[in-house]
Amino acid sequence: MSKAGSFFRQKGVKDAFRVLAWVPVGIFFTRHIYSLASVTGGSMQPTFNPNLSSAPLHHDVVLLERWSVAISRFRRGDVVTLWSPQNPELLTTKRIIALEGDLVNPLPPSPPTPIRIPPGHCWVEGDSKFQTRDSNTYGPIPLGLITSRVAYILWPWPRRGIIDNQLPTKSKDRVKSLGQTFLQSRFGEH
Amino acid sequence: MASSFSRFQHVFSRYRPPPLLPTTIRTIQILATLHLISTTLVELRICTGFSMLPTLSQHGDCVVVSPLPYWSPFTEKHKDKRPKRGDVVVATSPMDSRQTVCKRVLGIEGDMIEIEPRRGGQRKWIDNSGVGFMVDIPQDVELEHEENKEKHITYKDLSIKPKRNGENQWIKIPKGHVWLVGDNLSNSTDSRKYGPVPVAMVKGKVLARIYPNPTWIENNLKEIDQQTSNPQMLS
Repeated sequence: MSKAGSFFRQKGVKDAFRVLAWVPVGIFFTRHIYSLASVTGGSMQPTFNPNLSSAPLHHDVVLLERWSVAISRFRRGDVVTLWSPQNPELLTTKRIIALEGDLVNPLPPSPPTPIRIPPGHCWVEGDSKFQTRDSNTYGPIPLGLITSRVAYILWPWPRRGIIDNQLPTKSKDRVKSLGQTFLQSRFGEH
Repeated sequence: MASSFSRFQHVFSRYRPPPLLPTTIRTIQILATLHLISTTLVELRICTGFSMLPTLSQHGDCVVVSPLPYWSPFTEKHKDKRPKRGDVVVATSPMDSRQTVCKRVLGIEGDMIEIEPRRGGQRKWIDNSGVGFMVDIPQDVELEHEENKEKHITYKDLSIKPKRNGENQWIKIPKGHVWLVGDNLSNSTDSRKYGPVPVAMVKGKVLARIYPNPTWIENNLKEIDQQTSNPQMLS
């Protein structure tokens, strides 16, 4: 038997390889199926970090559901994490307000004309009632920037639970889907 | 006859299917390792389409794509680890997040870019009735001289003709974005259609072509004097 072969036949080396072989599987799991993250900042404020002013160092720990992005399942009202379009190193959390084809009335930082979301893009906004850096600042964003859906708050324990899929009240009336605008153009407003 | 059948029977009875659970586990481990290598180190990809035509053919070229040139160990990346002008990159398509595109970076953040850069020499015009025709326009159309008006197409004629969409429109690339354009300008869906692309969408740099004609894919942009390149930019 050659030297290399005898090296790989040792019990300790064999066990080490048995453990190392699971590392890529774990990396795949955290990249494409589920992973954990902590949320800092107050742009999603009633949902995450509601009392940031009293506890500025507090971070919410959340569960990221990555497989829904892998199969590109995007829905209006989902809370998602995305790479900031202005800073490719910054991961931010926002809520999807509108998907492609929708007509959105933007909020102040952008001009007040309605925007039709182009194909493959979406409109994201923070939940906070104050101004956040969201699509109102940088316009519709490509869906390729979205990395995961935020599914569950794990910590702090009293606020644990599934994150609801709902549009915040400030953005509810500003979105019209393609079908709605078509019906309005045909039959007038009802 | 009976003996051969019994031999088969013997072979079949000796056959054991591979142990199911260890095989599945080993397969999953190997696939995950391959996925990790292809997403972090190097990947072979097949690029099809007309958009990169002089560089990559439309029949599907096998290229080496690697995210390593844009990787840095720190979360706060250095500016020089961003895509540079002239890099051929693979990016997620802004039109469809399930597809990727292979384009050349023409501008990085802060650059002024003309949306439709084709100009000078022979160019195609489409008149009002929708008929396309080729016109020869010399690089330096002199507008002031009366005698040139007879020889060449005058400025007045040019302004009547419908312009290309995006011609003479300049855009400043916003922070954290790049301008991606295919090498084949006349048949390419790129930033001229969907605007500047965020750097986070860039997945890797195209390093080399493997098949056919193995070569390194290089930065073929040349720097030219600003004043000779375009006087309109200064005005």
